[in-house]
Amino acid sequence: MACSIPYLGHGVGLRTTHFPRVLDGTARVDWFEAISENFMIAGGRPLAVLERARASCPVVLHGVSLSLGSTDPLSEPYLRALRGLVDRVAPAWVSDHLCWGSVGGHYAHDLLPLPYTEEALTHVIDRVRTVQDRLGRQILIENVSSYLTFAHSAMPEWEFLAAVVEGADCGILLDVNNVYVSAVNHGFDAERYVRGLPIDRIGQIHLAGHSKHETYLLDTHDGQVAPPVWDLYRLAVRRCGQVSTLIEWDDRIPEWAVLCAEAERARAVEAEMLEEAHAASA
Amino acid sequence: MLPLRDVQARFLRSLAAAPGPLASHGFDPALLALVEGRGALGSADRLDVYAQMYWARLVDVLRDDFPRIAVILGAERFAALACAYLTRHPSTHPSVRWLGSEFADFLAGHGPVEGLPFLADLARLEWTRLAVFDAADAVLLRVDELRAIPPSAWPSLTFHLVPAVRVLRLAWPVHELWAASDPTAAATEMRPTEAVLRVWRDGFAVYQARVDTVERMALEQLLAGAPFAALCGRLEVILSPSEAAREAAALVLRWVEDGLLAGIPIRRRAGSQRGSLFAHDGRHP
Repeated sequence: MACSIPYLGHGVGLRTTHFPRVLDGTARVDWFEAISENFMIAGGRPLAVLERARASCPVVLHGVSLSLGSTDPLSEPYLRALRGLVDRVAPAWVSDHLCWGSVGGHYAHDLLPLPYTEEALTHVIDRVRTVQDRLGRQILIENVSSYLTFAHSAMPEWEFLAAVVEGADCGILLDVNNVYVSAVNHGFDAERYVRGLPIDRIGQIHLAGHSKHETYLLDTHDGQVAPPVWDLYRLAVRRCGQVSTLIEWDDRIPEWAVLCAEAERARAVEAEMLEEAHAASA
Repeated sequence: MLPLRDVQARFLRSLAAAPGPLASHGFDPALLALVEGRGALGSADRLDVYAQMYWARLVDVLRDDFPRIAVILGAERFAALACAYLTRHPSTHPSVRWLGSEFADFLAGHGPVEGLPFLADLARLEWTRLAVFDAADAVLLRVDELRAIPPSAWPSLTFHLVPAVRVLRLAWPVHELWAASDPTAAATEMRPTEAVLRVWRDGFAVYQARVDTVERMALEQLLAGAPFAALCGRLEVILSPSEAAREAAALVLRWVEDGLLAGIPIRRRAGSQRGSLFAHDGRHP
Protein backbone atom coordinates (compact mmCIF):
# COMPACT_ATOMS: atom_id res chain seq x y z
CA MET A 1 0.00 0.00 0.00
CA ALA A 2 1.29 3.49 -0.81
CA CYS A 3 1.06 6.43 1.53
CA SER A 4 -1.97 8.65 1.08
CA ILE A 5 -0.52 12.15 1.32
CA PRO A 6 -2.28 15.05 -0.41
CA TYR A 7 -0.43 17.35 -2.80
CA LEU A 8 -0.17 20.82 -1.23
CA GLY A 9 2.20 22.61 -3.58
CA HIS A 10 5.29 24.49 -2.38
CA GLY A 11 5.60 25.58 1.23
CA VAL A 12 8.02 27.05 3.72
CA GLY A 13 8.90 26.43 7.37
CA LEU A 14 6.95 28.31 10.04
CA ARG A 15 9.80 30.14 11.78
CA THR A 16 9.83 32.97 14.36
CA THR A 17 11.44 35.44 11.96
CA HIS A 18 8.21 35.57 9.99
CA PHE A 19 5.73 35.24 12.88
CA PRO A 20 4.71 38.94 12.54
CA ARG A 21 3.74 38.31 8.91
CA VAL A 22 1.68 35.29 9.89
CA LEU A 23 -0.11 37.36 12.51
CA ASP A 24 -0.84 40.26 10.17
CA GLY A 25 -1.94 37.95 7.37
CA THR A 26 0.80 38.88 4.87
CA ALA A 27 2.60 35.52 4.93
CA ARG A 28 0.85 33.96 1.96
CA VAL A 29 2.17 30.57 0.96
CA ASP A 30 0.77 27.20 -0.21
CA TRP A 31 1.43 25.58 3.17
CA PHE A 32 3.57 25.72 6.30
CA GLU A 33 5.65 23.10 8.03
CA ALA A 34 5.87 23.60 11.81
CA ILE A 35 8.50 21.99 14.03
CA SER A 36 6.33 19.96 16.41
CA GLU A 37 8.46 20.47 19.53
CA ASN A 38 8.34 24.27 19.20
CA PHE A 39 4.60 24.13 19.77
CA MET A 40 4.46 21.57 22.59
CA ILE A 41 3.86 24.40 25.03
CA ALA A 42 0.92 25.63 27.03
CA GLY A 43 0.13 28.90 25.23
CA GLY A 44 1.38 32.33 24.20
CA ARG A 45 2.61 33.68 20.90
CA PRO A 46 3.89 30.50 19.18
CA LEU A 47 0.55 28.70 19.51
CA ALA A 48 -1.36 31.83 18.47
CA VAL A 49 0.83 32.02 15.36
CA LEU A 50 0.32 28.33 14.62
CA GLU A 51 -3.45 28.70 14.86
CA ARG A 52 -3.39 31.78 12.63
CA ALA A 53 -1.26 29.91 10.08
CA ARG A 54 -3.64 26.95 10.26
CA ALA A 55 -6.57 29.25 9.56
CA SER A 56 -4.95 30.53 6.38
CA CYS A 57 -3.46 27.39 4.79
CA PRO A 58 -2.61 23.71 5.44
CA VAL A 59 -0.02 23.02 8.12
CA VAL A 60 2.06 19.88 8.60
CA LEU A 61 3.92 18.87 11.77
CA HIS A 62 7.58 17.94 11.48
CA GLY A 63 9.24 16.50 14.58
CA VAL A 64 12.90 16.34 15.51
CA SER A 65 12.76 14.40 18.80
CA LEU A 66 10.69 11.28 18.23
CA SER A 67 14.02 9.43 18.20
CA LEU A 68 12.61 6.60 16.09
CA GLY A 69 15.90 4.71 16.05
CA SER A 70 16.67 5.03 19.75
CA THR A 71 16.84 1.94 21.91
CA ASP A 72 15.24 3.87 24.77
CA PRO A 73 11.49 3.32 25.13
CA LEU A 74 9.43 5.84 23.17
CA SER A 75 8.77 8.81 25.43
CA GLU A 76 5.18 8.57 26.62
CA PRO A 77 4.92 12.27 27.56
CA TYR A 78 6.27 13.16 24.13
CA LEU A 79 3.78 10.90 22.35
CA ARG A 80 0.93 12.36 24.40
CA ALA A 81 2.07 15.89 23.61
CA LEU A 82 2.37 15.06 19.91
CA ARG A 83 -1.06 13.46 19.86
CA GLY A 84 -2.47 16.55 21.62
CA LEU A 85 -0.86 18.83 19.04
CA VAL A 86 -2.13 16.67 16.18
CA ASP A 87 -5.66 16.82 17.58
CA ARG A 88 -5.39 20.59 17.99
CA VAL A 89 -3.83 21.44 14.62
CA ALA A 90 -5.26 18.70 12.40
CA PRO A 91 -2.09 18.72 10.25
CA ALA A 92 -2.15 17.45 6.68
CA TRP A 93 0.47 14.93 7.85
CA VAL A 94 3.09 14.30 10.54
CA SER A 95 6.76 13.52 9.95
CA ASP A 96 10.00 12.85 11.81
CA HIS A 97 13.45 11.49 11.02
CA LEU A 98 15.11 8.17 10.34
CA CYS A 99 17.66 8.55 13.10
CA TRP A 100 18.09 8.43 16.84
CA GLY A 101 18.73 11.26 19.29
CA SER A 102 18.66 9.89 22.80
CA VAL A 103 19.90 7.00 24.87
CA GLY A 104 19.73 6.31 28.59
CA GLY A 105 17.35 9.26 28.93
CA HIS A 106 20.01 11.67 27.62
CA TYR A 107 18.92 13.74 24.62
CA ALA A 108 21.54 14.95 22.13
CA HIS A 109 19.07 17.19 20.26
CA ASP A 110 20.68 16.01 17.07
CA LEU A 111 19.73 13.64 14.27
CA LEU A 112 22.24 10.86 14.82
CA PRO A 113 22.94 8.11 12.26
CA LEU A 114 21.93 4.49 12.59
CA PRO A 115 23.91 1.46 11.51
CA TYR A 116 21.88 -0.11 8.72
CA THR A 117 21.61 -3.59 10.16
CA GLU A 118 18.81 -6.14 10.41
CA GLU A 119 18.65 -5.41 14.15
CA ALA A 120 18.12 -1.69 13.52
CA LEU A 121 15.63 -2.39 10.74
CA THR A 122 13.40 -4.57 12.92
CA HIS A 123 13.66 -2.05 15.73
CA VAL A 124 12.74 1.00 13.64
CA ILE A 125 9.85 -0.76 11.88
CA ASP A 126 8.42 -1.71 15.26
CA ARG A 127 8.79 1.85 16.57
CA VAL A 128 7.21 3.47 13.52
CA ARG A 129 4.27 1.09 13.77
CA THR A 130 3.81 1.95 17.44
CA VAL A 131 3.89 5.67 16.72
CA GLN A 132 1.39 5.31 13.89
CA ASP A 133 -0.92 3.31 16.17
CA ARG A 134 -0.67 6.00 18.84
CA LEU A 135 -1.32 8.84 16.42
CA GLY A 136 -3.95 6.94 14.47
CA ARG A 137 -2.34 7.89 11.15
CA GLN A 138 0.53 7.14 8.81
CA ILE A 139 3.65 9.22 9.31
CA LEU A 140 6.44 10.21 6.93
CA ILE A 141 10.04 9.54 7.85
CA GLU A 142 12.89 11.66 6.55
CA ASN A 143 16.41 10.66 5.54
CA VAL A 144 18.97 12.71 7.50
CA SER A 145 22.31 14.19 6.48
CA SER A 146 25.15 12.20 7.95
CA TYR A 147 28.86 12.56 8.51
CA LEU A 148 29.73 8.98 9.34
CA THR A 149 28.71 5.48 8.37
CA PHE A 150 29.15 2.23 10.25
CA ALA A 151 31.37 -0.54 9.02
CA HIS A 152 28.84 -3.16 10.15
CA SER A 153 25.96 -1.72 8.08
CA ALA A 154 24.54 -4.50 5.94
CA MET A 155 22.83 -2.34 3.30
CA PRO A 156 22.97 1.20 1.89
CA GLU A 157 20.75 3.83 3.44
CA TRP A 158 18.23 3.92 0.60
CA GLU A 159 17.63 0.18 0.91
CA PHE A 160 17.22 0.53 4.66
CA LEU A 161 14.76 3.42 4.22
CA ALA A 162 12.80 1.52 1.58
CA ALA A 163 12.64 -1.54 3.85
CA VAL A 164 11.47 0.55 6.81
CA VAL A 165 8.63 2.21 4.92
CA GLU A 166 7.46 -1.10 3.42
CA GLY A 167 7.74 -2.89 6.76
CA ALA A 168 6.04 -0.16 8.78
CA ASP A 169 3.63 0.95 6.04
CA CYS A 170 4.61 4.59 6.36
CA GLY A 171 5.68 7.28 3.90
CA ILE A 172 8.94 8.99 2.99
CA LEU A 173 9.86 12.61 3.41
CA LEU A 174 12.66 12.75 0.88
CA ASP A 175 15.20 15.45 1.74
CA VAL A 176 17.16 15.79 -1.48
CA ASN A 177 19.65 18.16 0.13
CA ASN A 178 20.35 15.51 2.78
CA VAL A 179 20.85 12.91 0.05
CA TYR A 180 23.34 15.19 -1.67
CA VAL A 181 25.21 16.11 1.54
CA SER A 182 25.51 12.47 2.59
CA ALA A 183 26.47 11.39 -0.94
CA VAL A 184 29.39 13.83 -0.95
CA ASN A 185 30.40 12.97 2.61
CA HIS A 186 30.33 9.22 1.99
CA GLY A 187 31.12 8.99 -1.69
CA PHE A 188 27.95 7.32 -2.94
CA ASP A 189 25.88 8.16 -6.01
CA ALA A 190 23.04 10.53 -5.01
CA GLU A 191 21.00 9.66 -8.11
CA ARG A 192 21.21 5.99 -7.27
CA TYR A 193 19.77 6.83 -3.83
CA VAL A 194 16.79 8.68 -5.32
CA ARG A 195 16.23 5.94 -7.92
CA GLY A 196 16.38 3.30 -5.17
CA LEU A 197 13.33 4.55 -3.27
CA PRO A 198 9.74 3.37 -3.85
CA ILE A 199 8.13 6.40 -5.53
CA ASP A 200 4.62 5.64 -4.29
CA ARG A 201 5.86 6.12 -0.72
CA ILE A 202 7.30 9.60 -1.21
CA GLY A 203 4.81 12.07 0.28
CA GLN A 204 6.98 15.17 0.70
CA ILE A 205 10.27 16.62 -0.45
CA HIS A 206 12.60 18.92 1.50
CA LEU A 207 14.94 21.38 -0.20
CA ALA A 208 17.56 23.30 1.76
CA GLY A 209 20.98 24.90 1.65
CA HIS A 210 24.19 23.43 3.01
CA SER A 211 27.69 24.70 3.81
CA LYS A 212 30.97 23.59 2.29
CA HIS A 213 33.71 22.79 4.77
CA GLU A 214 37.21 21.83 3.76
CA THR A 215 36.62 18.09 3.82
CA TYR A 216 32.85 17.68 4.05
CA LEU A 217 29.46 19.31 3.55
CA LEU A 218 27.42 20.40 6.56
CA ASP A 219 23.63 20.48 6.49
CA THR A 220 23.09 24.02 7.76
CA HIS A 221 19.76 25.17 6.23
CA ASP A 222 21.20 28.68 6.12
CA GLY A 223 21.17 29.57 2.45
CA GLN A 224 19.78 28.97 -1.00
CA VAL A 225 19.44 25.51 -2.47
CA ALA A 226 22.65 24.52 -4.25
CA PRO A 227 22.68 23.74 -8.03
CA PRO A 228 23.39 19.98 -7.63
CA VAL A 229 20.48 19.75 -5.16
CA TRP A 230 18.17 21.37 -7.73
CA ASP A 231 19.37 18.72 -10.20
CA LEU A 232 18.50 16.01 -7.73
CA TYR A 233 15.08 17.62 -7.21
CA ARG A 234 14.56 17.49 -10.99
CA LEU A 235 15.27 13.78 -10.90
CA ALA A 236 12.89 13.28 -7.96
CA VAL A 237 10.06 15.12 -9.78
CA ARG A 238 10.76 13.20 -12.99
CA ARG A 239 10.41 9.97 -11.02
CA CYS A 240 7.54 10.89 -8.67
CA GLY A 241 5.56 13.61 -10.46
CA GLN A 242 4.00 16.23 -8.19
CA VAL A 243 5.12 15.92 -4.56
CA SER A 244 4.51 18.57 -1.88
CA THR A 245 7.81 20.40 -1.55
CA LEU A 246 9.14 22.55 1.27
CA ILE A 247 12.01 25.03 1.49
CA GLU A 248 13.81 24.52 4.82
CA TRP A 249 15.62 27.70 5.82
CA ASP A 250 16.38 27.70 9.55
CA ASP A 251 19.41 29.89 10.06
CA ARG A 252 20.25 33.32 8.66
CA ILE A 253 16.62 33.34 7.57
CA PRO A 254 16.09 35.88 4.77
CA GLU A 255 13.35 38.35 4.00
CA TRP A 256 9.97 36.79 3.31
CA ALA A 257 10.25 37.66 -0.40
CA VAL A 258 13.57 35.80 -0.72
CA LEU A 259 12.16 32.75 1.05
CA CYS A 260 9.07 32.76 -1.16
CA ALA A 261 11.23 33.19 -4.27
CA GLU A 262 12.97 29.93 -3.39
CA ALA A 263 9.61 28.17 -3.05
CA GLU A 264 8.55 29.69 -6.40
CA ARG A 265 11.74 28.41 -7.97
CA ALA A 266 10.84 24.92 -6.77
CA ARG A 267 7.40 25.37 -8.32
CA ALA A 268 9.00 26.40 -11.62
CA VAL A 269 11.40 23.44 -11.59
CA GLU A 270 8.51 21.09 -10.90
CA ALA A 271 6.47 22.62 -13.76
CA GLU A 272 9.44 22.34 -16.10
CA MET A 273 9.91 18.64 -15.26
CA LEU A 274 6.22 17.87 -15.60
CA GLU A 275 6.13 19.68 -18.95
CA GLU A 276 9.12 17.67 -20.10
CA ALA A 277 7.47 14.43 -19.04
CA HIS A 278 4.24 15.45 -20.77
CA ALA A 279 6.09 16.33 -23.99
CA ALA A 280 7.97 13.04 -23.91
CA SER A 281 4.78 11.02 -23.53
CA ALA A 282 2.88 12.98 -26.23
CA MET B 1 29.46 -6.69 16.52
CA LEU B 2 28.08 -4.33 19.16
CA PRO B 3 24.33 -4.38 19.78
CA LEU B 4 22.50 -1.22 18.70
CA ARG B 5 22.02 -0.05 22.28
CA ASP B 6 25.73 -0.33 22.95
CA VAL B 7 26.56 1.62 19.80
CA GLN B 8 24.20 4.40 20.83
CA ALA B 9 25.41 4.55 24.42
CA ARG B 10 29.05 4.75 23.32
CA PHE B 11 28.19 7.30 20.62
CA LEU B 12 26.43 9.73 22.93
CA ARG B 13 28.98 9.28 25.71
CA SER B 14 31.67 10.13 23.17
CA LEU B 15 29.92 13.31 22.03
CA ALA B 16 29.20 14.51 25.55
CA ALA B 17 32.53 13.56 27.13
CA ALA B 18 34.37 16.83 26.59
CA PRO B 19 33.61 20.09 24.80
CA GLY B 20 35.64 21.91 22.21
CA PRO B 21 38.86 20.74 20.59
CA LEU B 22 39.33 18.12 23.32
CA ALA B 23 36.26 16.21 22.17
CA SER B 24 38.22 13.47 20.42
CA HIS B 25 39.98 12.61 23.70
CA GLY B 26 36.69 11.20 24.96
CA PHE B 27 35.89 9.04 21.95
CA ASP B 28 35.20 5.41 22.66
CA PRO B 29 37.78 3.15 20.93
CA ALA B 30 35.23 0.36 20.30
CA LEU B 31 32.93 2.88 18.64
CA LEU B 32 35.73 4.37 16.54
CA ALA B 33 36.50 0.87 15.28
CA LEU B 34 32.95 0.73 13.88
CA VAL B 35 33.09 4.12 12.13
CA GLU B 36 34.27 4.04 8.55
CA GLY B 37 37.03 6.50 7.71
CA ARG B 38 36.99 7.56 4.07
CA GLY B 39 38.80 10.12 1.94
CA ALA B 40 40.20 13.07 3.87
CA LEU B 41 38.05 12.32 6.91
CA GLY B 42 39.15 9.62 9.33
CA SER B 43 36.74 7.97 11.75
CA ALA B 44 37.66 10.30 14.63
CA ASP B 45 37.21 13.35 12.35
CA ARG B 46 33.76 12.14 11.43
CA LEU B 47 32.69 11.57 15.02
CA ASP B 48 34.17 14.96 15.83
CA VAL B 49 31.72 16.66 13.44
CA TYR B 50 28.91 15.38 15.67
CA ALA B 51 30.77 16.26 18.88
CA GLN B 52 31.36 19.86 17.78
CA MET B 53 27.72 20.20 16.73
CA TYR B 54 26.51 18.73 20.03
CA TRP B 55 28.21 21.40 22.12
CA ALA B 56 27.67 24.28 19.72
CA ARG B 57 23.95 23.61 19.35
CA LEU B 58 23.26 23.26 23.07
CA VAL B 59 25.35 26.30 23.99
CA ASP B 60 23.37 28.26 21.37
CA VAL B 61 20.11 27.18 22.97
CA LEU B 62 21.29 28.35 26.39
CA ARG B 63 22.53 31.62 24.87
CA ASP B 64 19.07 32.23 23.43
CA ASP B 65 17.39 31.38 26.74
CA PHE B 66 19.74 33.47 28.91
CA PRO B 67 20.55 36.43 26.65
CA ARG B 68 21.55 38.96 29.35
CA ILE B 69 23.89 36.49 31.04
CA ALA B 70 25.44 35.78 27.64
CA VAL B 71 26.03 39.50 27.01
CA ILE B 72 27.48 40.13 30.46
CA LEU B 73 29.81 37.12 30.35
CA GLY B 74 30.87 37.49 26.73
CA ALA B 75 30.94 34.62 24.23
CA GLU B 76 33.90 32.69 25.58
CA ARG B 77 33.05 32.79 29.29
CA PHE B 78 29.41 32.04 28.57
CA ALA B 79 30.31 29.00 26.45
CA ALA B 80 32.64 27.69 29.17
CA LEU B 81 29.96 28.08 31.83
CA ALA B 82 27.28 26.56 29.58
CA CYS B 83 29.51 23.55 28.82
CA ALA B 84 30.14 23.05 32.55
CA TYR B 85 26.37 23.12 33.08
CA LEU B 86 25.71 20.69 30.22
CA THR B 87 28.32 18.30 31.58
CA ARG B 88 26.58 18.31 34.96
CA HIS B 89 23.02 18.43 33.58
CA PRO B 90 22.75 16.67 30.22
CA SER B 91 19.40 17.20 28.54
CA THR B 92 16.72 14.79 29.72
CA HIS B 93 13.76 16.20 27.81
CA PRO B 94 12.86 15.69 24.15
CA SER B 95 12.42 19.44 23.67
CA VAL B 96 15.32 21.88 24.01
CA ARG B 97 12.77 24.23 25.59
CA TRP B 98 13.66 22.65 28.94
CA LEU B 99 17.45 22.51 28.51
CA GLY B 100 18.05 25.44 30.88
CA SER B 101 15.67 24.31 33.61
CA GLU B 102 18.49 23.71 36.12
CA PHE B 103 20.75 26.56 35.01
CA ALA B 104 19.85 28.96 37.83
CA ASP B 105 20.30 26.27 40.50
CA PHE B 106 23.55 25.21 38.84
CA LEU B 107 24.84 28.78 38.97
CA ALA B 108 23.77 29.10 42.61
CA GLY B 109 25.69 25.95 43.51
CA HIS B 110 28.60 26.57 41.17
CA GLY B 111 30.16 29.17 43.40
CA PRO B 112 30.02 32.81 42.39
CA VAL B 113 31.46 33.55 38.98
CA GLU B 114 34.22 36.05 39.60
CA GLY B 115 32.79 39.52 40.05
CA LEU B 116 29.26 38.41 39.16
CA PRO B 117 27.58 37.06 42.33
CA PHE B 118 24.11 37.95 41.01
CA LEU B 119 24.24 35.55 38.07
CA ALA B 120 21.94 32.88 39.58
CA ASP B 121 19.28 35.52 40.22
CA LEU B 122 19.58 36.82 36.67
CA ALA B 123 19.18 33.24 35.41
CA ARG B 124 16.03 32.91 37.54
CA LEU B 125 14.60 36.04 35.97
CA GLU B 126 15.47 34.97 32.42
CA TRP B 127 14.03 31.49 32.95
CA THR B 128 10.89 32.96 34.50
CA ARG B 129 10.44 35.23 31.49
CA LEU B 130 10.45 32.10 29.30
CA ALA B 131 7.90 30.41 31.56
CA VAL B 132 5.64 33.44 31.26
CA PHE B 133 6.20 33.74 27.50
CA ASP B 134 4.65 30.36 26.74
CA ALA B 135 2.39 29.88 29.78
CA ALA B 136 -1.20 28.84 29.13
CA ASP B 137 -3.59 31.44 27.74
CA ALA B 138 -6.53 32.51 29.89
CA VAL B 139 -9.63 34.63 29.70
CA LEU B 140 -8.77 37.91 31.40
CA LEU B 141 -10.90 39.85 33.83
CA ARG B 142 -11.89 43.10 32.11
CA VAL B 143 -12.10 46.54 33.70
CA ASP B 144 -15.80 46.87 32.77
CA GLU B 145 -16.54 43.52 34.42
CA LEU B 146 -14.70 44.68 37.53
CA ARG B 147 -16.62 47.95 37.65
CA ALA B 148 -19.92 46.07 37.26
CA ILE B 149 -19.38 44.16 40.51
CA PRO B 150 -21.62 45.71 43.22
CA PRO B 151 -19.71 47.05 46.25
CA SER B 152 -21.58 44.68 48.56
CA ALA B 153 -20.05 41.67 46.71
CA TRP B 154 -16.42 42.81 46.98
CA PRO B 155 -15.52 41.54 50.47
CA SER B 156 -16.18 37.91 49.53
CA LEU B 157 -14.60 38.05 46.05
CA THR B 158 -11.57 35.87 45.38
CA PHE B 159 -9.36 36.96 42.50
CA HIS B 160 -7.03 34.58 40.67
CA LEU B 161 -3.83 35.22 38.76
CA VAL B 162 -3.70 33.94 35.17
CA PRO B 163 -1.03 31.27 34.42
CA ALA B 164 1.22 33.84 32.69
CA VAL B 165 2.17 35.59 35.95
CA ARG B 166 5.04 34.74 38.27
CA VAL B 167 6.34 36.38 41.42
CA LEU B 168 10.06 36.15 42.15
CA ARG B 169 11.92 37.03 45.33
CA LEU B 170 15.55 37.77 44.48
CA ALA B 171 18.58 38.82 46.50
CA TRP B 172 19.79 41.11 43.70
CA PRO B 173 17.83 43.70 41.70
CA VAL B 174 18.67 41.99 38.41
CA HIS B 175 15.65 43.49 36.63
CA GLU B 176 17.83 46.62 36.36
CA LEU B 177 20.22 44.63 34.16
CA TRP B 178 17.39 43.65 31.89
CA ALA B 179 16.37 47.26 31.42
CA ALA B 180 19.93 48.61 31.08
CA SER B 181 21.08 49.68 27.62
CA ASP B 182 24.54 48.41 28.58
CA PRO B 183 24.05 45.37 30.86
CA THR B 184 27.81 44.83 31.16
CA ALA B 185 28.32 48.31 32.59
CA ALA B 186 25.23 48.00 34.80
CA ALA B 187 26.55 44.69 36.14
CA THR B 188 29.52 46.44 37.70
CA GLU B 189 27.11 48.64 39.68
CA MET B 190 25.05 45.75 41.12
CA ARG B 191 24.61 45.78 44.89
CA PRO B 192 22.73 43.13 46.87
CA THR B 193 19.23 44.43 47.62
CA GLU B 194 16.23 42.15 48.00
CA ALA B 195 13.82 42.61 45.12
CA VAL B 196 10.38 41.08 44.70
CA LEU B 197 9.35 41.10 41.05
CA ARG B 198 6.19 40.25 39.27
CA VAL B 199 6.68 38.93 35.75
CA TRP B 200 3.68 38.91 33.44
CA ARG B 201 2.55 38.83 29.83
CA ASP B 202 0.55 41.51 28.09
CA GLY B 203 -0.47 40.29 24.67
CA PHE B 204 2.63 38.39 23.57
CA ALA B 205 5.15 40.65 25.33
CA VAL B 206 6.70 39.74 28.70
CA TYR B 207 7.29 42.40 31.33
CA GLN B 208 8.68 42.53 34.83
CA ALA B 209 8.35 45.10 37.57
CA ARG B 210 9.51 45.40 41.13
CA VAL B 211 6.63 45.33 43.60
CA ASP B 212 6.54 47.34 46.84
CA THR B 213 5.69 45.94 50.26
CA VAL B 214 1.97 46.66 49.92
CA GLU B 215 1.67 44.89 46.56
CA ARG B 216 3.75 41.98 47.77
CA MET B 217 1.50 41.49 50.83
CA ALA B 218 -1.58 41.71 48.63
CA LEU B 219 -0.17 39.20 46.14
CA GLU B 220 0.59 36.79 48.99
CA GLN B 221 -3.06 36.96 50.05
CA LEU B 222 -4.23 36.49 46.47
CA LEU B 223 -2.07 33.42 45.96
CA ALA B 224 -3.23 32.01 49.28
CA GLY B 225 -6.77 32.07 47.89
CA ALA B 226 -7.92 34.72 50.35
CA PRO B 227 -10.98 36.87 49.53
CA PHE B 228 -10.76 40.63 49.05
CA ALA B 229 -11.73 41.29 52.69
CA ALA B 230 -8.74 39.25 53.92
CA LEU B 231 -6.50 41.09 51.49
CA CYS B 232 -7.62 44.39 53.00
CA GLY B 233 -7.17 42.94 56.49
CA ARG B 234 -3.58 42.01 55.70
CA LEU B 235 -2.79 45.52 54.50
CA GLU B 236 -4.21 46.94 57.74
CA VAL B 237 -1.01 45.73 59.41
CA ILE B 238 0.76 48.70 57.82
CA LEU B 239 -2.12 50.96 56.68
CA SER B 240 -5.24 52.42 58.25
CA PRO B 241 -8.46 50.47 57.41
CA SER B 242 -9.63 53.09 54.92
CA GLU B 243 -6.19 53.33 53.30
CA ALA B 244 -5.97 49.54 53.16
CA ALA B 245 -9.33 49.21 51.37
CA ARG B 246 -8.48 52.02 48.95
CA GLU B 247 -5.02 50.61 48.24
CA ALA B 248 -6.34 47.07 47.78
CA ALA B 249 -8.99 48.24 45.30
CA ALA B 250 -6.39 50.28 43.41
CA LEU B 251 -4.11 47.23 43.21
CA VAL B 252 -6.91 45.04 41.88
CA LEU B 253 -7.65 47.65 39.21
CA ARG B 254 -3.97 47.86 38.25
CA TRP B 255 -3.71 44.06 38.03
CA VAL B 256 -6.76 43.97 35.79
CA GLU B 257 -5.30 46.69 33.56
CA ASP B 258 -2.01 44.78 33.34
CA GLY B 259 -3.83 41.54 32.45
CA LEU B 260 -2.88 39.65 35.62
CA LEU B 261 -6.31 38.46 36.75
CA ALA B 262 -8.42 35.65 35.37
CA GLY B 263 -12.05 35.69 34.26
CA ILE B 264 -14.87 36.48 36.63
CA PRO B 265 -13.72 36.18 40.24
CA ILE B 266 -15.23 33.30 42.13
CA ARG B 267 -16.56 33.25 45.65
CA ARG B 268 -14.39 31.75 48.32
CA ARG B 269 -15.01 28.09 48.92
CA ALA B 270 -13.95 26.03 51.89
CA GLY B 271 -10.83 23.95 51.27
CA SER B 272 -9.87 25.79 48.09
CA GLN B 273 -6.34 25.22 46.80
CA ARG B 274 -3.71 27.50 48.17
CA GLY B 275 -0.97 28.85 45.99
CA SER B 276 2.58 29.53 47.04
CA LEU B 277 3.94 32.93 46.23
CA PHE B 278 7.51 31.85 45.71
CA ALA B 279 7.06 28.29 44.54
CA HIS B 280 7.74 28.91 40.87
CA ASP B 281 10.71 27.20 39.34
CA GLY B 282 9.60 27.06 35.73
CA ARG B 283 10.09 23.34 35.43
CA HIS B 284 8.11 21.22 33.06
CA PRO B 285 5.58 19.07 34.90
